Amino acid sequence: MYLKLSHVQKAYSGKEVLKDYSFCFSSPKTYCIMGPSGCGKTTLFHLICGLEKPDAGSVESSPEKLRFSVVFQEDRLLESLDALKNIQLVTPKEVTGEQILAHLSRILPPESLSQPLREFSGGMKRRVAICRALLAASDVVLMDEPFNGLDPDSRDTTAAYIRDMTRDKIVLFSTHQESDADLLDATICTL
Amino acid sequence: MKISIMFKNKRVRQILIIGFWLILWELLSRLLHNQLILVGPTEVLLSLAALLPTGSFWLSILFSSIKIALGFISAFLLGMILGCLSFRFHWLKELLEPILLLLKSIPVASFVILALIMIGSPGLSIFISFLIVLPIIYTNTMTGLSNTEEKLLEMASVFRVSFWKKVRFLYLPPLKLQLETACKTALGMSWKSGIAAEVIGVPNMSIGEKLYMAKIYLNTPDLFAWTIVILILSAIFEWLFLKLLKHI
Repeated sequence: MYLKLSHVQKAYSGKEVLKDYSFCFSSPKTYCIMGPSGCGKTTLFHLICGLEKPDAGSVESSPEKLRFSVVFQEDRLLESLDALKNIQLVTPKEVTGEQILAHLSRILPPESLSQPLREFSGGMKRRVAICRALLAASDVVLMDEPFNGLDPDSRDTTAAYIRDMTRDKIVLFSTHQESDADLLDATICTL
Repeated sequence: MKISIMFKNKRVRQILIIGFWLILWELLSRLLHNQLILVGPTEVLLSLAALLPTGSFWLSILFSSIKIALGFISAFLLGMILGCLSFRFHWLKELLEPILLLLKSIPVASFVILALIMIGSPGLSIFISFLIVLPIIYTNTMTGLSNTEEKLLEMASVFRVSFWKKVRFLYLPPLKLQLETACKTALGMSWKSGIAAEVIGVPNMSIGEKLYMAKIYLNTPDLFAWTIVILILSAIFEWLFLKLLKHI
């Protein structure tokens, strides 16, 4: 399984964000995308999962139709629902509520699981978004700054959970801290 | 001290405000001393009490309510269906635009006279409340759907969320919020226009007919009593429908 970007270019209102970017991501491996703010990390993820089209170049994969799951920069959760319902929205029917709750309790305090998401802190929402991406059926997991808003303890617990859940997948995540790459045993790619 | 505490209670304050206006109304009617121009609240209540035991009072309420509710519900359903389709298919939105603009701009009286010639008086209030409510629901359905967060829709597309889950969890909440506000306006408008149509068409056993008769016989207390009945019915309908909408 691989994901190949060839000579990809993307510009917004004439401002070039990605210029002639080529790389081949293969599985099972974790890649840490690093670079200064505005260098195109989020754009790269959007191009890979098909939310945007490149101005030039191509995104190819084998098998042709890969399934993606994403931890977006802004969580993109439904605040009126609880964590379980947010995850059930994207998981296949075979994944039961009990299984999801068991996963959530690995990275969240158990007493928080029945609360609506609007009562969660930023870090707790981040962990729900990560759990959602890891429980959805996918071949490629894209995580845009997944450790944002997490304290050192929950960062370690969440990293262990991610490592455990992505052993057979292509994982791409962006960060500004090199130590995050060590946490997920990732190969660093600089944009 | 006690009075200021009482005034801080919202319900007490509301009762006092209503009481103030009722007293002012009573005083004005006594000052004018002309029952043709302005009757006081006491006469209106007496007139209403006289109407209550009559069969035609309840039958008029029943028939008018059924007709207006029919007009409202059919416009609500069609407005929502057309609104959803127009949100999805831009060509349909463009096709319907001139008709909806026409419905919004033409005075209700013109519609009533036209409809009276075309369909006669019995179904007039159904047709008129339908025509008035349809553009309100249609426009607000499209606004509600376009209020759905683009970023959540992107998330749903990446995770391949099913169509029905998208409808239930992403489109329905902002749509419900928009329709709740729209229904408050639309329900009031359906009663106003429906009764206005009945006053012009004068169908048998209708509130409009009773208002028309009150006008012919210069029976101002009856006119006021029926107006209060319309206000109460409109409020009951609004309460019932919004409660129903909240449960969807």
